Amino acid sequence: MQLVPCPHCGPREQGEFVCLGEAPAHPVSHESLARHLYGRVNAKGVSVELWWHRHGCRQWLRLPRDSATNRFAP
Amino acid sequence: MSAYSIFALARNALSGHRNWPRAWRSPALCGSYDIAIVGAGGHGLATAYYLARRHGLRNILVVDKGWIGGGNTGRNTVTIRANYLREPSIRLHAEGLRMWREMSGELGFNAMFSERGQIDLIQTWAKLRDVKRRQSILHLAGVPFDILTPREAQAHVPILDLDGPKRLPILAATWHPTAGVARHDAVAWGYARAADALGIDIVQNCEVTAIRRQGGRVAGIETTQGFVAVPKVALAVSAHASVLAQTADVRLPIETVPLQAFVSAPLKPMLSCIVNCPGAVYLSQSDKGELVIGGGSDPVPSYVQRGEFAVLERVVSNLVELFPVLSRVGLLRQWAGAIDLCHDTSPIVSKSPVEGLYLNVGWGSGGFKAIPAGGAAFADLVATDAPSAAIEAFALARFERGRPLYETAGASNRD
Ligand SMILES: Cc1cc2nc3c(=O)[nH]c(=O)nc-3n(C[C@H](O)[C@H](O)[C@H](O)COP(=O)(O)OP(=O)(O)OC[C@H]3O[C@@H](n4cnc5c(N)ncnc54)[C@H](O)[C@@H]3O)c2cc1C
Repeated sequence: MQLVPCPHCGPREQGEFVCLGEAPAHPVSHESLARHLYGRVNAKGVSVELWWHRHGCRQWLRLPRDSATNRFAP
Repeated sequence: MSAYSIFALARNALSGHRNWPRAWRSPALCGSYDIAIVGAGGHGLATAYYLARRHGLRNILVVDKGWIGGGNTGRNTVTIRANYLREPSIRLHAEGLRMWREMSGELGFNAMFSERGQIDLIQTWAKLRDVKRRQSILHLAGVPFDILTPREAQAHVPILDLDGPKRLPILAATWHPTAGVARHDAVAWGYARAADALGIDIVQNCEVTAIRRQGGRVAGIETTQGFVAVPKVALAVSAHASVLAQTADVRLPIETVPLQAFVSAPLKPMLSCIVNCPGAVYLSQSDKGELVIGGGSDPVPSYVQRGEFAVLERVVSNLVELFPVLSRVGLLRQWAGAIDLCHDTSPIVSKSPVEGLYLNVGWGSGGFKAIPAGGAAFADLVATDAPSAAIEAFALARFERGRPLYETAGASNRD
């Protein structure tokens, strides 16, 4: 058992922790995580949306659509 | 500002109503202000009024790309209530109900607030659990909200049918006696007139195209009538919140979706309260006798102020199932507003990461009721730079802190 240097609690026994493996190269900040999870461009104009053809072929589609006119872009 | 009164009415009747003074000025846009409020809906106008009234600030611009109250404020179904789930919302809306009762007197403009109570019909066990939980929370906050049997609900709503076959059974109902309705246009006009009288410039038909930044803070706004230098910009633009905030590189957890409403031909008085059926449809009767009817928001995001037919069809079929007496009533008008639906369906009344940029957006399907209390709290924030306890929970940073405020009591929280 080793001591893990916790920046909040000081050195603590390893048993208090779970090791989740290799850390991603760029630590994720709260700001960028919130932006990723909740942030929306919400464009007034064309953006690419995900549509699921639920009652047809059941495929997931990426379709460009204009939110200012409701038209699907060609 | 000359007061509206029975004497003014009599005097103006004698001169054929040709000499009424204008309700507000049409000032030209100046090159600089202390504060610019973007959006002359109820929230923008109330914010301007409270900045002047409570904080003595005068050098303020309210700018709108269209006309006063031409956004969702002029398109909504005017339900005013406090029966929410989250404590910060309950407290804000309970304070709002108090302000609604005093609004006409304070503004010298008849907002026609009518406290008539609201019945919610509960048709699923999940919703019954939700309203039982809400009842406890509402009682802790001192808001009247009781659970009734279907028969007790019918005493409030005689046109409700309990005997015919229903897709979903009516399990129970709730009664919120302090809910009410008001005249939507009058609220916008009342605040506009009172703000104008306090010296605030309201400029219509002028679109803000971008917020100009200088480093980390606001420098001004670009408009279709030129640049305005202003250190504080307050956004109250509902549907267009994301578009404008992104010109200052602020991204919001908001999607713009249509929310529609319908109005029937005028009928004799038949409905004395507001009725909401959380899964399906809600309605109330206006003073003119029209039934004002709404449902949930449309399923596809859009800025187009036109609802889709499938939603109308669903609302109307539910309406006729619950109130078969209405099956032959004609609908006169149908329309939609583009609402600013926030991820957790609670509003954002907050500073932004850019200094000098303030947000009063994300009210979605429920911001009409919040015009007085939300406008006053937002004015405090813009004036003092410190959020009052009333709005701390509505900060944009709640998403970074992992504290979203999921609501279950909005018109867009159907099912
Ligand atoms: C069908 C429907 C029913 C509703 N029912 C209810 C209800 O029963 N109860 C309830 O409490 N709420 C209800 N709501 C919600 C309520 O209408 C809104 O939350 C509220 O009116 C928002 O007010 P606001 O002042 O923030 O926005 P708005 O009234 O939409 O005003 C925003 C203004 O900003 C202007 N603007 C936008 N972009 C720009 C720009 N770039 N430059 C300048 N100006 C700009 C617009 O022209 C508009 O006038 C309903 C909404 C709809 C659509």
